[in-house]
Amino acid sequence: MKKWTEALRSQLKHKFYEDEIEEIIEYYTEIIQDRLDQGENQETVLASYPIKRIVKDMTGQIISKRNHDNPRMISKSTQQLLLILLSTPILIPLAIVYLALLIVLGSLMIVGVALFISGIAVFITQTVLLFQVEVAWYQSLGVLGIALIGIAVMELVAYYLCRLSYFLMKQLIVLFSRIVNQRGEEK
Amino acid sequence: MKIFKFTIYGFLVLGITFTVIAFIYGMKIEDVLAYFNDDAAYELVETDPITTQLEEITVQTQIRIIEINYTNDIELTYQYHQREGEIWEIEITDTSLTISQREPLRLLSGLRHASLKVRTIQINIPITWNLTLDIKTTTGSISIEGTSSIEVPNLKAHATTGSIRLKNITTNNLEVKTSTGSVNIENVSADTADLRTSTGTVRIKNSNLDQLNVKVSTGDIRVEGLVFESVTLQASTGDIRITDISIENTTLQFNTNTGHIRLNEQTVSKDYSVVFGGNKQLTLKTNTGNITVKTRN
Repeated sequence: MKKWTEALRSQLKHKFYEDEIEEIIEYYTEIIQDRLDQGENQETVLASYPIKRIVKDMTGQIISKRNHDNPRMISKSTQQLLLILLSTPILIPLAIVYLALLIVLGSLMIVGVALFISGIAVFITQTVLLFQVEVAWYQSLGVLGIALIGIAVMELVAYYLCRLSYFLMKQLIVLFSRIVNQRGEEK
Repeated sequence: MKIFKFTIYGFLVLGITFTVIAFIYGMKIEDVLAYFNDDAAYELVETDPITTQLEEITVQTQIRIIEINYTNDIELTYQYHQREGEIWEIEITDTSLTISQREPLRLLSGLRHASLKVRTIQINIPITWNLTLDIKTTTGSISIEGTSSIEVPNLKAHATTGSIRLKNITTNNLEVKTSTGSVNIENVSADTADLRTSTGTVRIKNSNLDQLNVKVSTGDIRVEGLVFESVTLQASTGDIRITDISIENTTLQFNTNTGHIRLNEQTVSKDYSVVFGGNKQLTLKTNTGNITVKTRN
């Protein structure tokens, strides 16, 4: 039993965080212990829980429970979800849809970053140009004001665009991991 | 992130305050527009008229609108505005005029822009001159218009970002290409015509194009009153609509993958093919768009 638990822990380490690993091991240990208490043979019970199958089955469930409060976790869940979808033939169309949506959201984020950079660039050039033309002080102030409004609007649009795509990426993970779970339960 | 948002909202408040103060002290909307207008940096270049008849005009620009008109004058005139640092090369031989414009690398261009007027090259050609035209611009539109049906041996018009408009012209070979602009052809006659655009719409009206080939990616193709021998119109996601056309003695081939095909208000199959005899050919293909054909009564 201990050997099996260690083998499971070793496989789970590649995919899950420490607290998730403990949760999975605890869950399966409890189920196995219940069956052993009912007098079933240990080898037969352990054979009915292939480690690779456990890892695959639990991935969807664990991903859907994650908080996704940092980009690294989102990136990890996205990759894992894509792998599950692509490794199950019946889910490949879903994988394509997921990938397409990820590309759309990625493009949205790139637009946000481009807006952010171009906003700063336009503000700098506009401010430098301001010192090269001779106009009344209040006109310079007005143009500087417009440049400030311009950069603020561009940066705010960029910020909320990135926030929106980040939020939608999190929602996609929840949605697709639930679909994966449902399909797993149906099987 | 809080500091970032605080800074940005600070910029916004500061910007509004500065602008309000500026307006209180006498700044006007015209002052703002004048500040962002870059016309003063451009200078009109005086050019001598060309009196000897040429055979060819070649124009190649990076950022210019090109307008070619035919006039009743007996000499060719052209004018353009030049900005400091721009590279202009004008070459005049006994048979040709070549105009080329290149932009220098500008790091501090800001938001200042010149008006359309100063960004236009205007060429006026006498209506009696039969010139081959080879016109290319990277950013800007091209317009070639004759007052009556003008004879141009060969006509090439290429733009990367800009629309192309041709009106009242007769030519042997017509080649029109643009990436992100539309193509408008009206009252044009050509033996062969090759029209391409990626995201724009192609419109052809009252024209006589014997061998016509049109390729569009995401735009539509609209044809009205076309006389032809062989036509191939291809769109990827756009619609194809042809009206006021004769299909007598014509082999028809219409194909769409996910759209609908309507021939004179009748819906036909997605892969429609019919031979009415004769040598004329009308081939229409689109991937996800619709095809509509209305023949002349």
